[in-house]
Amino acid sequence: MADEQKPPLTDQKTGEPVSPTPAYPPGEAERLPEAETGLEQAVTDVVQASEDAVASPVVQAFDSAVSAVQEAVDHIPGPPATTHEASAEHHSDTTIIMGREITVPGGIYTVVFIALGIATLIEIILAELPRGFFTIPLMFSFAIVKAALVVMYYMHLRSDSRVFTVVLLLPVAVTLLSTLYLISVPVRGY
Amino acid sequence: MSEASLERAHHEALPAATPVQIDNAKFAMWLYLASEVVIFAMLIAVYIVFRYNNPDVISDVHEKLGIILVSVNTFLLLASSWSMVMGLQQIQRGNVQGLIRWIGLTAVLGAVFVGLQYVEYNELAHLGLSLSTDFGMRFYAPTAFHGAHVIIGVLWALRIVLRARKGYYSAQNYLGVEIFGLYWHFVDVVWILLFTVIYLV
Repeated sequence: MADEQKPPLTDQKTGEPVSPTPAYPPGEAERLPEAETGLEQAVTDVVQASEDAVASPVVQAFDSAVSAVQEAVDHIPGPPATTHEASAEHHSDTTIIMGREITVPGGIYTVVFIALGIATLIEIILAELPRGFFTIPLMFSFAIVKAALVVMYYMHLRSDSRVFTVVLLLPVAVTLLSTLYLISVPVRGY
Repeated sequence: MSEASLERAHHEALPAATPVQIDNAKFAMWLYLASEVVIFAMLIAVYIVFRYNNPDVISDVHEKLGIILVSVNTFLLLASSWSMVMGLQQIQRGNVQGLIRWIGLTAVLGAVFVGLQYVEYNELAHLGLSLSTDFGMRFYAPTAFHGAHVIIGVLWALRIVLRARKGYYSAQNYLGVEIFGLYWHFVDVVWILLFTVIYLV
């Protein structure tokens, strides 16, 4: 990132230097305003109660369970997980695909979008062509690749905590097995 | 402060790679999405099992309806997912106007999607596909449930736009946008699967 020095900000009328507007402190935007109606008071009470509940043993136990899972999955070998803010790819318009540098507005996000569009087009063409043995498996493969692209790049699972991946894959695995079971049992009529 | 200097300030403030400290609100959103996975997977599974055992019923409907309208809708939703993530990138760079424009586009695309789905349902109703038929209930349940999610997503996007106009979000504070993004992309993922499973296969 090239850092050229910018002249200090000045007031356009007086020419006096001004300091930049300070950013919101974290959480300020989410802060609840003073309650004016009964409903607002109720919401405030619920939020207050949920904040108080953080100290309760149940929540503490849940917290430490989550930490344990996180610690366990962080030990799975693979690329080191980095914070979202720290991964530069989301901030850059330049991305490297198969050894080539590509610069488009949006960087990797736009590349993924184009890939999704092309995959969808191929799927539609496949559906319109005469059906062969591989048509349906191919279409399913395209759908799964597309879904994985969105989850990995748009939902940031690729660079986010692996706990989120576990949270997502657990129900997927259970329901996939259930579906396979339902398909394999013979139909007894509807 | 200009957008450029905000962006530069943000880049300078980037920390080196640190261990992940997961955010509670984001974690809650993922847990919620996990529950959504179960609901949608159940609806899709019901459809798949019916499709597997009654292939003729479904190819008949496909012949009548065609694929053009729903393909347009699919591209609209993919584009809305892209504009969502572009909006998030803009606010991470401190560009509030960019956030408003991209998320506004997301809301518009989502609204058009719902509109076209209404047109499609109308056509299907004229073809005599009602909710009380064996195929009808298995078709309408997942697609309409997904449509309801899109409507909620559009309203949520409008709320993000309103809050952004009031200056709620900045390069340091964009968690609200990110969490909405998770929801919106999930809805997109569900449609990617529904499109293939229900309309193509």
